[in-house]
Amino acid sequence: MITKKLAYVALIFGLTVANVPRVAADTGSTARLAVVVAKNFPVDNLSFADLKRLYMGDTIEASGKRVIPLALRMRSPERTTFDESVIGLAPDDVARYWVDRKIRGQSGPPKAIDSPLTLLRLVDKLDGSLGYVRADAVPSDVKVLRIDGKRPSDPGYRLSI
Amino acid sequence: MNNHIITLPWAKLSRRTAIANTIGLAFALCAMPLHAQSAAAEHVPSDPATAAPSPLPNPQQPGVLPAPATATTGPSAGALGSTAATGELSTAQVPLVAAPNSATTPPAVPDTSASGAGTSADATANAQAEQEASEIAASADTGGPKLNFYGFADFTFAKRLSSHSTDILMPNKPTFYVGNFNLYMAAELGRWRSLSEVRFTYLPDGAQTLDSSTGTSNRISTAYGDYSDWGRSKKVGGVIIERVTLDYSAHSLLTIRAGQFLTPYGIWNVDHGSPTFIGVTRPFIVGNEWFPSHQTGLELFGSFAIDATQLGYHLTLSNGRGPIDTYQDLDSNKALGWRFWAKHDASIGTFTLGTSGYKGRYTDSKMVYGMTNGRLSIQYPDTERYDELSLATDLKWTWGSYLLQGEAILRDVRYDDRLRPAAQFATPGTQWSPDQRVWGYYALTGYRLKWWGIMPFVMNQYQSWGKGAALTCWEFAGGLNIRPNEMVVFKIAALGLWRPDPGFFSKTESQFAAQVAWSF
Repeated sequence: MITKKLAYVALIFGLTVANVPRVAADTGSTARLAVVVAKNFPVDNLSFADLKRLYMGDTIEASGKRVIPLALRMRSPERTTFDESVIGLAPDDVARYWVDRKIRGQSGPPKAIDSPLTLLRLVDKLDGSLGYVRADAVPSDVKVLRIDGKRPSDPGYRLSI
Repeated sequence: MNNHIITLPWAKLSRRTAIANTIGLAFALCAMPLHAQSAAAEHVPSDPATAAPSPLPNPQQPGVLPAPATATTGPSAGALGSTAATGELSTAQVPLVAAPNSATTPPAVPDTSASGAGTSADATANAQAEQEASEIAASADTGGPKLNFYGFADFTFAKRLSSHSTDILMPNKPTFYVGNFNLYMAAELGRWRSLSEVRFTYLPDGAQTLDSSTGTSNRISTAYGDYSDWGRSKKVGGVIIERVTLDYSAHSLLTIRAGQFLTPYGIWNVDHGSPTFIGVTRPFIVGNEWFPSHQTGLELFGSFAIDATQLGYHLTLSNGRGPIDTYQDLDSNKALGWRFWAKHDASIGTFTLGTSGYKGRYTDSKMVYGMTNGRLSIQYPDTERYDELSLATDLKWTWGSYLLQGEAILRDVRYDDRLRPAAQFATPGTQWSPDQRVWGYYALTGYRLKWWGIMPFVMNQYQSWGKGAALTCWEFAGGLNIRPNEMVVFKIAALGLWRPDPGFFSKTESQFAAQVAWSF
């Protein structure tokens, strides 16, 4: 009888521990990402809500130009940080989200780019594209968008964990 | 001596406690997602001064640990640890660094165009960027679309738990079956998008038709002699066209869709695929098709956002419902449909509220040939007609891993008295199908654990076909939806239904079902 009770306690304990959020372990310490576009991108600011919708499959236009979202590859630290802080989903949930969308007949995920450096080059070359990289890794030949009017260095900037 | 120790009550307890703790720890470790484990392994303290080197070996120098990234390091190839083989940035070795303190100077912005020039990593990045850009541009402009094939399938075991001779909804013997094998073909053409989905099925082989005069059923056989195999018997199946659509996205406020589409109402009909929805079978109100599941015609849809709230619409114009509505409308009355929805992101999750409607006319007719004044005449007298109006509302609330969703539908059917068909289930005093109002709902809730993606869920549903109708019933279901990865879903569910006025049928029925559904 005691063994059964202890087994139940262990089961509950195990499931509880398993479901404690481990955000810090997933993504490292507090980090900020910058949303980057080409220098000639028609706007300087994007709302957080629009950014979220863009990366969840909705069409967003900036001054009549369709925005092409670019992502980094799954489970890269930047991707995990971005997905958790913007979309609000952990990597496993993100993967399920896109599979479910495709089965519903909706559009697929943003193009995943292998490296931040390639993404920076692509943002510069592909008209209307938008991506994200570490805030401290932005070169001078791309533009950093303000999100809800805030730059990455501003207090209250939301692309961080 | 040891034997004495372990026979003492507290010693037993200690050992059991230790075992239990071990089990608990094992659960915890098993439940930790792989990415969390790997991220934890890769984690480096944010302060570069105290940052420990990554435990991952440098592929360029086996056995030598790479230098840690620093907060002021820019994306120059060498600093970010490119690999010799690919020149690709090894992001796994370069954990995110601390954000700059808002009170301090913004981080240094290194100019990679200068610092990275001439390095192999930079050249590779440029080449990759060129290739990616040309691929995206090709699919978006005139270079021709890429056709994507994907799909889903499911395999189910079902066993009826009740044993009444008048159970009607469930197979009467334990059964394995492949239910869905659906293939999608999608192509992105910039603002244009083509999507086709077909379902391969064993039907019509084995489908039963009921002869009400004799009370027996006849089974359709599609076995034919195979000319390539000495005429040996082979069964042929069928193909169901689920949807064929072409979309033109003029603006986020307007996309125009033409073709055969899934009716955009509620949640379940749009979720559509077995890997996506939680339970094993469709709720009554969806399975009954109180809204047509598919329509052929035009659909307009779009959405716009106000802060954290998104508002959207769907409008449909179609052939409506009919015996051959996928390719011919037997009346000139086009069906109208609509859906309006609002989605709001709040601190306590995301709420989506929708309302849908469908108004249409069903008409069946036959073709009659004749001779009039020596000339061939063709007439199309109607044989059945009814008008219908369906209204629905739906709510979905997701809060982290918690899900609550529900839909309710009301449908009114009014027959043209001249074209009213015979009743399907004759009852004393009623030989003709009556006008009717039916309604029902379902509510489903579940919570997905991080451990193996397990979601325990419960669902309650009700359908009313009017007072005293035998088909009016309640159902309670519960089970597990287990999604160990994004591609595979295991489902285990038990359900029981109860009829307040069973009529011909049994008062209760129950079933167990296990299913694996997967996307590919």
